[in-house]
Amino acid sequence: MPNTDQYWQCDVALPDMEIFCDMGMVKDLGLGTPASQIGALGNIVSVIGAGTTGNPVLSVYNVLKRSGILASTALQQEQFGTAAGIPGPSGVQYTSDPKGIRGYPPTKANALATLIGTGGASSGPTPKGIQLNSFDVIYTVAGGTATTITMTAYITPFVDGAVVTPVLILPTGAYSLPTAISTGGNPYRRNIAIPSPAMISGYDTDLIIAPAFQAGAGCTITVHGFVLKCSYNFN
Amino acid sequence: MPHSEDVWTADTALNDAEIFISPQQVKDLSASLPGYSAGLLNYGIGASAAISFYANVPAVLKRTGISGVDAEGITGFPPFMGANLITLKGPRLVPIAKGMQINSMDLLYTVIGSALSAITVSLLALTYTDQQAYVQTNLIALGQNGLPLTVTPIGTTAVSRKNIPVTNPAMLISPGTDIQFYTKITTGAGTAKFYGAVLKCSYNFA
Repeated sequence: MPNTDQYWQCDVALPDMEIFCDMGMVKDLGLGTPASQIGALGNIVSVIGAGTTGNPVLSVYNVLKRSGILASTALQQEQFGTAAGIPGPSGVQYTSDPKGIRGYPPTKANALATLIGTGGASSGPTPKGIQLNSFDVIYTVAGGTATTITMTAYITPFVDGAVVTPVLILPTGAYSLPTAISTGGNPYRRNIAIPSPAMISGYDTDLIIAPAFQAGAGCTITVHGFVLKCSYNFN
Repeated sequence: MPHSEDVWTADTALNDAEIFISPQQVKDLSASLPGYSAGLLNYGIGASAAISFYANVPAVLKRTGISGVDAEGITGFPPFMGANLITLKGPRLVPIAKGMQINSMDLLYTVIGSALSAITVSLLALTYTDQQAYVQTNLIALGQNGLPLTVTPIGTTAVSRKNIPVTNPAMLISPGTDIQFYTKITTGAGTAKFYGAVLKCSYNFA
């Protein structure tokens, strides 16, 4: 059994994590929010009736976020090539992993990848935790066409003594989500990419998915859930 | 690509995990509904109100540990004589604690117009064993815990984000353990908003 008294670290995130947010997670926000109910197959859904707009906002609370860690002299040995003479990554420039390293040590000081070259000026912890790359929207349109379907996403950081300022990571848009009646009553599962995915490494940050489904005349929209497609790095 | 057909294990926990307890997962005990606008979910609390919020924290991934003798405290270099083998002499006979350890918690709220009358918060670990009384551990004992009652000075929507340490942080290794969050906010002449809480954790899934 490979074992270390320290911790294992790897800089590359794995891209295959899924987080399913079903409609049981949706909070009743009053007007405009469809209540969750048990569907015909025993699954939990939200149903948006004809001529109404549903906003099943999700705060994705079941994500494990990380802020990243710096090296510690108690655990890491002195690193070759750091400008600060302390293990990296640290808050000091030229101490974080420069990436793009080629060749094998020993390396001359004037060619040290940590001091020159790609990313050589980097400092601070390697981004870790969760990165939202895209998400699937799963819904069924029946009886008539939907008027509009839009999606928005935010990360919302909370800072002591500061006004809350949510950050858009997906501007409000239709993103080619179909509004036509679902063929055979089978649900759509369409993917929406986050334009500039990045690890959610800020302190005290909430992740919000804010959809808006507007059902047209005679239309019923059944929302089954959202599946977050994430990269993650817990090591 | 480093790869093992066995398991990787690491004895040192990482200490930078965060779990957001959202108003969305708070149980409706207050007869009010959370509000939402452009990426911000919160509960509004009116004047002269005492509102309680409970939440279970399902995002805490717990482990119970796996057996294996690891002596720790090793000094010197091998080879060791049989009589001095730390793995034979070492006192550790239980699994190394793994999973999740809650070190502290941030509470996020805004006080508007006039100071709060009171605010209390607690964080409990409840362990259930078959046919035994459940065991309640106060990770944060119910109390004000240093949380300010006063109006946040920078505008009416500024946030109070204060950190409350867990008294005796330890890995949550007992099988059948639930983590429960509770806060009660009592307003005076003013109002308040509740945004949630953030657990600051060490974790070791390796």
